[in-house]
Amino acid sequence: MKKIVFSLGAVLASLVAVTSLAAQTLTVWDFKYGEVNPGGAQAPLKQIDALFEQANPGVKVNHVSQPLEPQYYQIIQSAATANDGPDVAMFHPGAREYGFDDVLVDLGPYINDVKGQFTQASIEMVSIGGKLGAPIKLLPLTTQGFGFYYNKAYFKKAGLDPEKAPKTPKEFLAAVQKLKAAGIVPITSGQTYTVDFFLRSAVANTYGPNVAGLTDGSQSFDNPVFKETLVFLKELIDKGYVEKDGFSRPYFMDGIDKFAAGGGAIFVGLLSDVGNWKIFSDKLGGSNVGYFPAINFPDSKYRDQQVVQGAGIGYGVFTWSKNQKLAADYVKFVTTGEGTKIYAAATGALSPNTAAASSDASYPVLKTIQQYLKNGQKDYPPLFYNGYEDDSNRLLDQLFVTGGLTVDQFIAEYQKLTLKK
Amino acid sequence: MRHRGLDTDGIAPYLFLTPLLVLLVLFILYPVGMNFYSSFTQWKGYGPQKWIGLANYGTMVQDQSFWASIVNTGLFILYIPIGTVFTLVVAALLREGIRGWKTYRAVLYIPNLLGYVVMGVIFSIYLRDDGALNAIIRAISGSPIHFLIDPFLAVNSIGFILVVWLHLGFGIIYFLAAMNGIDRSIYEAAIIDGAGFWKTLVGVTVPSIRFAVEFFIVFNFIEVFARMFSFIYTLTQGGPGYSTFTLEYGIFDQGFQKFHVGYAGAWSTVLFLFCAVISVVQIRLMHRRDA
Repeated sequence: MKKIVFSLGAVLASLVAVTSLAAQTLTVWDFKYGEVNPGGAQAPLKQIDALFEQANPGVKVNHVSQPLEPQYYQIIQSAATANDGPDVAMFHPGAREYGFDDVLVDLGPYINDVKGQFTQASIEMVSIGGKLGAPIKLLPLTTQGFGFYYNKAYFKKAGLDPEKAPKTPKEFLAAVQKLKAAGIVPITSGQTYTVDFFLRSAVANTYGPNVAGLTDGSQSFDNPVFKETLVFLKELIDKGYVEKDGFSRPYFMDGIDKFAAGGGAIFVGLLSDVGNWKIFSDKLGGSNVGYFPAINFPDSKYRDQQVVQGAGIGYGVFTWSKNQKLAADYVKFVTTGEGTKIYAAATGALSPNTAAASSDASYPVLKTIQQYLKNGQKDYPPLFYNGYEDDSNRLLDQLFVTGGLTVDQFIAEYQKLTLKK
Repeated sequence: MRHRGLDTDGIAPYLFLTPLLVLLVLFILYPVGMNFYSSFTQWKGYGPQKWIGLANYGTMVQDQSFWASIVNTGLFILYIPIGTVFTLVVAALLREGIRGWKTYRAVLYIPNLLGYVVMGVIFSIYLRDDGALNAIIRAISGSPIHFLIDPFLAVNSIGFILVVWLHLGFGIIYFLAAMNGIDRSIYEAAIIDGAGFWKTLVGVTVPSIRFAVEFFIVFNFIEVFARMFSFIYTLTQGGPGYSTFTLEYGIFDQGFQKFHVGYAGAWSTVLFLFCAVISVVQIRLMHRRDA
C-alpha cells in the first residue's frame, strides 16, 4: 500500500512539475504588434518570439496586440491600478515612460553585459528623468527622429537639382515656388504633425547641444532664430505651399500614404516606426528619395543638426511580474543581437544598438541619414511632462491653423508650457 | 396619520430596496465622493494620493482650455432652442399627413441607430477639406470650406450636427407620439376659427404637449453637458486648438491622456454641479406635471 501511495505521489509531483514548466508563459503587450502590413512590426516580432522560445525551452511568449495611444496607456494605467498585468510592455521612452517608472523594474542589474552596446543618448533617455546613472526602466528598440524627405523626380520635373537639398530658407522658398508652379503639391501634410515635426527639427538646429536648457530655464523659446523659424513656417502655410487639406485629415497615416504614393514633393517624416526612409524608398524607388534634417537659418549658430530621440520605442518589465529575470532576458533578446537586426531589417527602424547598424546599399537615403545622425541633438517634447505634446500641438494649431495666436503670443504661451509639470 | 415602518411592513421593503441601494452606493455615491476627494489631491490614477487642497481648482480657473470648454458648451446650448423649434416644425408637418411621412420618419431616425461614434467617424471623413462634401463645394466654388480647421465652423458644425440634426429623428418620434394624444376636436375648432399651420402649432400643439417639449429641452441639456464626448473625440478631438473642447473632453484629456487624475477630478466636480442643476430642474418639471 505504501508503495502505491509513494508511486502515486511521485507521478503527481512529476505532473505538477511538467505542468508548471509548460505553463511558463511570458505575456508581452505591444502597440505595434497589430501592424500586419508589409514592413509592419508583427512579422519580425513573431520571428523574434519564435527564436526566444527556441532558446528558452518550455517558455511560451504570449504577444498581445494592444491599441495605439491614448488607449494604450489607459490600459497600462488600469494594469498599474490593479497591480497585475503583462510581464513586459512596449513604451515610448521619455515622459510617457517616466509616468510609469514606479511600476517598472530597474533593468540595470540585468543588462550589464549589453549596456555598452547602446548609444549613450538612448540609455540616457530610458533612465528615470532622462538622467544618466538613474535606474534604467526600458531597453530601447529604435532611435527616432524627424526630417525632410523629398521626391527627387518631382524636383527634376520642377527644374530643381535633385541632388542639392534646399537647406537654406531662400533655397527652400525658391524650391516650393517652382514646385507649385509645376503643378506639384510642394509640402504634403499629415494633420498638424507636419508643423510639429518641422518645429522639432528647427529647435535642434536652433539650440544645438543646448536643447535641454529649455527645461531648466537656461534657454528660452524667446529666441530670434526660433521666431524666424515660426515666421517662415507661417509664410509657407499662408502662401499655400503646405497642403492645407492635410490639416483636416483624421489620420496622420493618410499624409504618409499620400507622399509615398507620389502625392507631393516634400514630407516632414520620421526616421523609424512609420513614415520613414524605408517606406518611402520602397514606394518611390531607392534612388528617388532625398533627405535633409533641417533648414539652416542664417542667424543660427548651428547647421545640419539632426533631431534625435535616443530611444523611439522600447520594452520594460513590470514590478508585478513573477518572471522578472526571464522577462528581462526577453527584453534583452529583442533589443540586441539577432533580435534587433531582424526588427530593423523588416521595418526600417534605426537601432540605437551600435552592434546592429544597418547598411543596406539599396537605400542610399539611409547613408545620408546616418551621416546627419553624427550631429544628433535631443528632441525637446519628451523632456517635458506627460501630455506636453498634446498641449504643444494645440498651441501650434492656434498659430498655424486657426490664426488664434500671433507669433509673439505663441512664443509667450509656448514658454509658459515649459514651467508646467 | 399612521406611520408605516418596520413595525407594520417588516423588513421586506428594505430587502427589496437593498440591491438598488447597493448599486446606487457602488456606482453613483462612491464614485462621486471619490472624485470629489481626488479633486483635492495630486494623483495619477494609481499609487498614493497627495493632498494639495484647492490647488487643482486654482489651476483650473487659470487654464485656457477650461474657459474654452465653458464657452463652447454655452454655444452648444444656444443650439437647443433652434433644434427644439426645428424638430417641432418638422414633426407638425409630418403630422399633417405629408405623402410618405412614415418613410421620412424612418429615414430621419437612422442617425440615432448608428450612434455617435459611427456618426463622428463618418463626418470626420465627410467634412474634411478633401472629403466628399468639399468635393461638391470645390466643384461649384473652386475652394473648400474648412469645416474642421476653422474654429468658428468647427464648433458650429458640431453644434448643428449634434444638437439639431442628430436629435431630429428622436425628437420627431417623441413629439409625434405626444401630438397623437391631443384631442382632434381642438384642431377642428382652430381650423373653424381660421387658424393656419403656424397659429395651430403655436396656439394648440405646443401648449398641449408642453411637458414633452420641456422634457426634450432637458434631454438636450443633458446631451450637451454629458454625452458629446464620443462625437467630439471621433470628429475633432477637441481641436483645432481648443475650439471644440468641452468639459467632458477636458476630463478625458487630463485624466486619461495626461494622467492628471486629481486635476481631472476638479473638472468633473464642475460638470457634476452643472448636471445636478439640470437634474433639479427636470425633477421640478416632473413634480409640476404630477401636481
